Amino acid sequence: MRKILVIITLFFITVTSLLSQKIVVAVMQDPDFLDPHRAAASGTYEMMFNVFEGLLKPDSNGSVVPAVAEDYHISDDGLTYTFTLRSGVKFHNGSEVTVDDVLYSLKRLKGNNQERGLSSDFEKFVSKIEAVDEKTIKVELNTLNTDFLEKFIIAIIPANNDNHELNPIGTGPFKFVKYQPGQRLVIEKFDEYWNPELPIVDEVEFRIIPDNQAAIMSFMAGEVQILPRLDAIQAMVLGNRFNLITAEQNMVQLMAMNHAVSPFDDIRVRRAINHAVDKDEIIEIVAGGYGTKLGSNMSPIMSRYYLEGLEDYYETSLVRSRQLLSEAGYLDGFKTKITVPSNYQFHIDTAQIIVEQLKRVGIEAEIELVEWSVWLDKVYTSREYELTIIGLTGKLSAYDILRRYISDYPRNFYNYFNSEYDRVVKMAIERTDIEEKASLFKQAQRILTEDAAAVYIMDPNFIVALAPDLFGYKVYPLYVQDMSTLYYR
Amino acid sequence: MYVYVKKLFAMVFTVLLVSLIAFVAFEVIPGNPALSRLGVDAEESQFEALSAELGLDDPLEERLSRWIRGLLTGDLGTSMRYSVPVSDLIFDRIPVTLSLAVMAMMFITLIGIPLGIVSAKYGHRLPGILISMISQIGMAIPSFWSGIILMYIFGIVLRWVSPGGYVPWSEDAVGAFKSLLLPAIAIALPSIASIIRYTRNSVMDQMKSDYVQLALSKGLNMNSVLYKHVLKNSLIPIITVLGMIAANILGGSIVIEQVFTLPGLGRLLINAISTRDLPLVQGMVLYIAFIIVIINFLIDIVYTVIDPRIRLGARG
Repeated sequence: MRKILVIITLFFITVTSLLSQKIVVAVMQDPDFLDPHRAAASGTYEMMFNVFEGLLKPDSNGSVVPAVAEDYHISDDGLTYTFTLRSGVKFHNGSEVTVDDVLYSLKRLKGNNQERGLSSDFEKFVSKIEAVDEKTIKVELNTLNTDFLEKFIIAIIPANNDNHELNPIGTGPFKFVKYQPGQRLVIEKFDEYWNPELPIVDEVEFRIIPDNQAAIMSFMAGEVQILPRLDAIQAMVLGNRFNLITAEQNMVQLMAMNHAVSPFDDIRVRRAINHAVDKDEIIEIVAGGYGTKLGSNMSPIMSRYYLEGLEDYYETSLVRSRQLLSEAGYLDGFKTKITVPSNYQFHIDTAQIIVEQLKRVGIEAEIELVEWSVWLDKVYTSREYELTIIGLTGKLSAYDILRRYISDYPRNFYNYFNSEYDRVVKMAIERTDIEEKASLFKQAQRILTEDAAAVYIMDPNFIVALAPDLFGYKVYPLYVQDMSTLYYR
Repeated sequence: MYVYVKKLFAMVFTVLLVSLIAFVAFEVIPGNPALSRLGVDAEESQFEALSAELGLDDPLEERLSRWIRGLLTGDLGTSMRYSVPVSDLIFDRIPVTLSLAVMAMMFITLIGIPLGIVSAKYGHRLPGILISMISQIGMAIPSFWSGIILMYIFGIVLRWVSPGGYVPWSEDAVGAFKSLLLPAIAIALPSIASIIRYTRNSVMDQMKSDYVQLALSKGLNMNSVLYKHVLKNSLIPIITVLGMIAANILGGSIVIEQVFTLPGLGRLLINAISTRDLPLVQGMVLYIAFIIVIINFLIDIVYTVIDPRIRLGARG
C-alpha cells in the first residue's frame, strides 16, 4: 500500500513539474522603479509590460488597442477623451477594477495643488479628470495634443494598495512574484486575466545578466530560454542550432554632433561629415547587413509618419565632403573626438568604422570610451562632447521621438536650435486631421536632414534567440518583451 | 591587551580613511546616481524628484556627516540604486562569496601544499620538474580565462554544470555545490600554483639547515625528518602567503562572479560602482576592510598555534 502511495506521489510530482512551464529571459539591467508611475527606464518597461496595463495597451503593430478600457472616444475638437471600462477586469489582488481606481491612477499622474504629478505630460496637458458613471471616465485636455492617446498606455493601479513599489499590483497577464536586486525579477501567470486565453506559460523569470558573454553561455547551456537584443556577431556565434528571430525595431542609431562646439556649429562641416560617412558600409560590417539605412530621426516602422527618401539625401562622396570642408575653412581637416559608451559594443564598432571613413577626408577622430553613467552625465546631461554615437529607442508617438530636438527640451543634447523646427513639431500635435499631422511630422524630419542635425545611421534589426521548443514570440516596435503569447511545443 | 587596543584603533582609522577616500572619489568622478538609475528616457521632473529623494542636492559636508551619523548608530544607509537597506543587500550576497572563498581555500591548501612538498622532495627529478612546470603555467593563466574555458568544457560541451544557474544552499545543496565548483576552481588555480612554489622553496630552504643535516646523519630516514620536523618549520611563511591569498580571493571573486553570473559581493560591488551608488559602495568598503582585518587576526592566531615562541604582542 505504502509503495503504491509513493509511486502515485512520485508520478504526481513528475506530472506537475512537466506541466508547470517556466521561461527564463536574460535582461541587461535592473528595473529602476517597480511603481509603474515612477519608472522611467525602458529596461523596466520591458519586464513590467507583462504586469501592468493601461486603459489602452500597445500591440505589436505599434498602434494602441483597448485594455482596461473596452472602448474609447475622442471628441471632434480633440480635447475630450471618453473611456468605457471593460467589465470583469481584475487586479492581481482579486478585486475588480472600478472607476475609482482609474480616477486614482490618472490623478496620481496629474497631481494636484499640494503634490506634483508623477507624469509631466499629464501635469502639463490634462485639465480635468472625472467619472461620468460607474463605467465611464472623461479626460479633458487644456491644449490640443493629438499624440496624447498613446499616453493612456500608462498603468492603472488599485487605489487601495499602500505600497506600489514593494507590492506592485496591476491587471496584466502576469502578476509580480518577487524581485531580487541584481539577480532576478519573477512573475507568474494571473489566472483571472480578462483574456481567458492568455497567458500560456506559468512562470517567467527575468534574469539580470549584465555581461553579454555570460548571457550567451547561459543560453547555450539551456539555463536561459530567451536571449533578446543580440547583435549580428553574437547571432553568428550562436549559429543555426537555435531559433533566431530578426525584425525591424523602432530604434535610431545616430552620431550626434554638438552644435554648440566648433567646428560643428558650421552646417557645412556637419554636411561634409554626412557625405563622408558611408552608412551602407557600417550596416554591412557592424550589423552584418541586418539594419535599415536611415536619413532622419525616424524609423520606417513608424510607417504613418516616416518620410521616405532621406536616407540618401547626402550621398557618400569624398569630393563633395572635401569641397564643403574647404568652403568652411578646413581644407586640411581637423582633429576631434567621438565619445562612446563602453557598454555598447555595437556603437564602439560603428565608431571604429566612422574613424576610418573620416580619415579619408582628413578628419582625425579619436575614440573616447566612457562608462555608461559618465555618458549619461557628461554627454547626455551636461552636453560636454564633440561627437557621440548612441541608439535611441523608439516610442509609440512620433512627437515623443521628434521632441528631442525642440530648442527648450531639457535633454536636447544635440544643442540643436531651430525655431522653424519647433513650430512645425508643435503644429503637428495640434492637427486633428491625420494627413495634415503626418505631413508636418514629415516636414520636421526633412528639416533635421537638411540641417544635418546629426548623422542618422540605421535602425539596427532586433535579433532575439529562442530555445528551440519555444514558440509564439511577438516582436514589438517598442522596448518590451511580451511573455503572454509564448508557449512550448 | 594593549596590542588589541592598538590594532582596533588602527582598524577604525583605516576604515574611516578608506571611506573618506571613496567619498571624495565619488565627488570627483563624473556620473550621477539618479541619472544612472533612470536612463535616457526619464523626464526632467522624474530626475528632479529622484535627486531630491536621494539627497543629491545637499552639500557635501551634510551628506558626509549624515553617513557618519548613520554609521555610528549601526545604519549603513539605503542603496541609491535599489532603495533597499545596504546591509540587506550585503548580507544577502555574503553566502555566495563566502562559499566561493572557502571552497577555493580548500582547494589551495589541500592540493597546493601536498604538491609543493612532493615537488621539494623530488627536487630535480622528474616529478619535481613536472610539478614546477605545470605550476608555472598555472600562475600565468588569469582566472577569468580559465573560468571561461572551464565553463565552456563542463557547462556547454559536457553539460555537467549549468553556467548562470546559481541556486542558494538552502534550496538545493547539490545544485549550489555544482554552480560554485567551477568558479572556485578557476579562482584557486593561480593560487594553487603559487602556493606550490612557496611550499617547495620553503621546504627546500629548511632541508639545507643544520638540524636537518644532523637528523639525517643520526640515521633518521628522509620521510620522518620531512614530516616531523621540516614541515612544521616551513609552515610559517606558507601561512603568511595563505593569508595574502585569502585577501586576494576577495578581489579574484569580483571578476569570476561576473564571468559565472554569481550573485556575490563582487558583482554587487561592480554594480554599485557603475551606478554611482555611494552608500552601497561605502558599505561594501567597510565590509571588505573588516574581512581583511579578521583574516590578519586569524593568521596571527595560527602562528601562535604552530610556533608557541611567537606571542601576539611580539609582532607589530
